[in-house]
Amino acid sequence: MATTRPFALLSEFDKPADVMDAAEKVRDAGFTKWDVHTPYPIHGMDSAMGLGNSKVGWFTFIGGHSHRRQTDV
Amino acid sequence: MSEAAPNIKLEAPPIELERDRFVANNLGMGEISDQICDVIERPTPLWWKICMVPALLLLSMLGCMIIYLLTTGVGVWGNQHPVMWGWAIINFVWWIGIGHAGTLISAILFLLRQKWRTSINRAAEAMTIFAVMCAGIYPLIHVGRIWYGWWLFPIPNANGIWPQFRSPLMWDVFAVSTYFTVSVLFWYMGLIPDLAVMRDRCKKFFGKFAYGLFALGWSGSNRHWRNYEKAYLILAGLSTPLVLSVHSIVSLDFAVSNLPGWHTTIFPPYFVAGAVFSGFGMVLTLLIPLRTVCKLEEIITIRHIELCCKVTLTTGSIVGYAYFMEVFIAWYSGSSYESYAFWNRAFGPYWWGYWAMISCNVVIPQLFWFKFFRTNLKWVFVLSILVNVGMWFERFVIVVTTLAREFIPANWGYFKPSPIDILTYLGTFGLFFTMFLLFLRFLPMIAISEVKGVVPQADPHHPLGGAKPGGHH
Repeated sequence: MATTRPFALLSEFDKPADVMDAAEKVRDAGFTKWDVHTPYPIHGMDSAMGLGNSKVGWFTFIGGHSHRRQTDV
Repeated sequence: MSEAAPNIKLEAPPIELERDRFVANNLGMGEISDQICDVIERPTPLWWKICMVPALLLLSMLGCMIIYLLTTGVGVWGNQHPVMWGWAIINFVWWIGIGHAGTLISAILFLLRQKWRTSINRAAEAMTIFAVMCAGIYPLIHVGRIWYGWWLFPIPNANGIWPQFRSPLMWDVFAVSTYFTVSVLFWYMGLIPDLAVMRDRCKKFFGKFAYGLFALGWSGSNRHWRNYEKAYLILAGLSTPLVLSVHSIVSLDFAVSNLPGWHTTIFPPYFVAGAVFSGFGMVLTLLIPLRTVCKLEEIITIRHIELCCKVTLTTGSIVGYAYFMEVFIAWYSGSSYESYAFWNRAFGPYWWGYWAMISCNVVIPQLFWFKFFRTNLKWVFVLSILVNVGMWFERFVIVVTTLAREFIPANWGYFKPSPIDILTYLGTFGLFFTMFLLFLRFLPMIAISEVKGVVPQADPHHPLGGAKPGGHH
């Protein structure tokens, strides 16, 4: 059974500027389930992918405030 | 107005004014990985085996010394009335001080966006962890009855017995254990992307499994990098106060007491500056031979060495200022005990320690004002060792001169270390170098992904990163 719908698309880039351009186009085309894999973090890629701020800060904040005070020992 | 606006054109600086790049010869991304991983992937180098033998011998000697101490008692050390604090605390403070460069490089220089840190931060963080381990041995074994070591920690118990919270030695336990925990977390966090690199390169099954286990499934996804970078930033923010707090608290071990020469407010900043000074000394001592034997001259460049020298010069001068201020305040205070303490340091029975400290910490580092000394590796290596010799003498002078000459002359004495003191100290070098050599052989000693991130080829706004003239990238 031949299917015409591709399961996934993979593309390789040589330069960070190229992958960033491509990411912006994919973002503007409205895709949501996609990712960019790089050997180092590329500055500006978060906005090029349309990602918001990381939630790690909130986890840290809640974790930092959730110690139990032991006053009754 | 608008037509008067000048058309400013910034011209590129002339080539001779351009700074050296952080990675020489424009290495490609793959070449960076190859160079850094080469130390791990090639057969065990001869220099590694040659260094490992004395390191392991010294480590076993440390084990013997600790067993002897614990089975016999702390009397095997040279601690005698009136100098009841001897080499144990001197070496503790010395090792902890060395540990300060790692966090300074990884946290403070990260927050200050000092990109040159990337070539040296991994090794410096490893050095920090191992130095803190060496330091941590002393508080543990100096209690003599080590099976009561858990008394150091405020563990709720049925008897309601607590440690003395008003003692700075108790604060030390918290400061050092927090510092160690955060340093290890920071180090591991930075290792994750590089462990993934090692996992992907490793050809042996066990190595692949072990690197893969600790790489936590890292794939280089930008959705991961986003969280990773946030977590790194938060950890940097959390460890920045630790750089300052740990040695401040160590200094309070002395400053909170009432003895002349110790009871001064300058101690916390002076100790922190000294700690960073000695830490950078150790970073230089380790990196200068390493960049040659591991063939990493293109990644740890002369510019990195020079910048480390400048930090050493700055902190060394702060330490020199503190020495001068101590003497000035001792005179200005009009307190005869305080004045005597400082006169005694310079001209008393331990004059040799004081002048060794002044020459190694204040006078000799001034050579780093000259580019010749900052860029000549043999000189930098020798000077960096002298820095740590000087910093050892600083702790010796502080601990011993004050205790040997306190208020009542009937309590005066002269401190001599026992052979066990000396051998235990040498043994801690065995622990340090064994750990460091293992680190070099099994983990990437330079942060691969971070170095890649600071080269121009990685910058989407740089021509080498593929940016097109006129385009917005």
